[in-house]
Amino acid sequence: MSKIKEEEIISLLSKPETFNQGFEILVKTYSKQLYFHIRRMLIIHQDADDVLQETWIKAFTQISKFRFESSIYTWLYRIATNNCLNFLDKKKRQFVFSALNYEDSLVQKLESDKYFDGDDLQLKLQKAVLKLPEKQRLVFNMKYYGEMKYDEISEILGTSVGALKASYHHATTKIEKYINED
Amino acid sequence: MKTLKDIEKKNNFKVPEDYFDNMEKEVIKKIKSGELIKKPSPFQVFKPYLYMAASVILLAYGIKTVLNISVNKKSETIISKIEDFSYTFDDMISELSYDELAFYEYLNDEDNNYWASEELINDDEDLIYLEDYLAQYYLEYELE
Repeated sequence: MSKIKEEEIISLLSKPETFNQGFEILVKTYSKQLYFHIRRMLIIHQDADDVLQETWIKAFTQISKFRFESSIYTWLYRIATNNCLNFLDKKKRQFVFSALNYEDSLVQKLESDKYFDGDDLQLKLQKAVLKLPEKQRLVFNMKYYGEMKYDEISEILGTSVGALKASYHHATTKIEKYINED
Repeated sequence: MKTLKDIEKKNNFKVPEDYFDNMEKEVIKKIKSGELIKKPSPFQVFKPYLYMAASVILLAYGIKTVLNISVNKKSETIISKIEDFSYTFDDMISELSYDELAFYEYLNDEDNNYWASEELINDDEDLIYLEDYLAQYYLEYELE
């Protein structure tokens, strides 16, 4: 989002009479980006939709505490990422006593998901991504699919750029190795 | 060997038709109506009170246990001291009070070093005291 638009939203949000209008623009501007950021982590549309709604509630209720020190974009991504990680933790706890782990169950669902239209190679790529550790998967998705800069990812995840680069390198190596298997 | 560069980068995740249309109006409407705000379950409402009650019970139980341990330790020490003393006295009554004859036989038994020891009965005065005591004991026993 351009700097001008962000300043315009902040200005609308800061006045009670224009708050709703400002929030509507915020939702309209960021919903798509946030949705796909969440969806790439959670895979299932319904789960991504739930977490996106939770993200907007949190943004709505906590925006008065937001000091505009970082950009709204970073702040929203941080909320969405935390919600995603909490959701994954909850799901993983439900699978503790299951023979199948949560990521494997996602792979199975992906194969029959009507909202996933990738070919075999794309499916294999998604399976490889799902095999990565959670944080590595997050970094890979943000960098590869989200095409975000390391500085932005660093601000959102609170991790150093060096660590992010190393994490992304490990992730791509593992993915390429998995793709070339069989 | 394939690398990521050989794979077309595209978004394979689809959404239901019109999913993003009017999302901003829907979100605001739902937030205002409270539809999106999860109401806490009765358990969540009472959870702090339940934790508080459980803590009080645990604390009370803990205090009781600690106090019991210290009281028991003290009484064990006292009882062991009393037992040291009362052994001879109680045993004297239980073992020797079948009848007077047995009592005197026991007293006259030289092999019984315990009773013959001067520590317990070393003169006639002690013996008289013991006889009086036994007489009193029998009297009480018969009155019962």
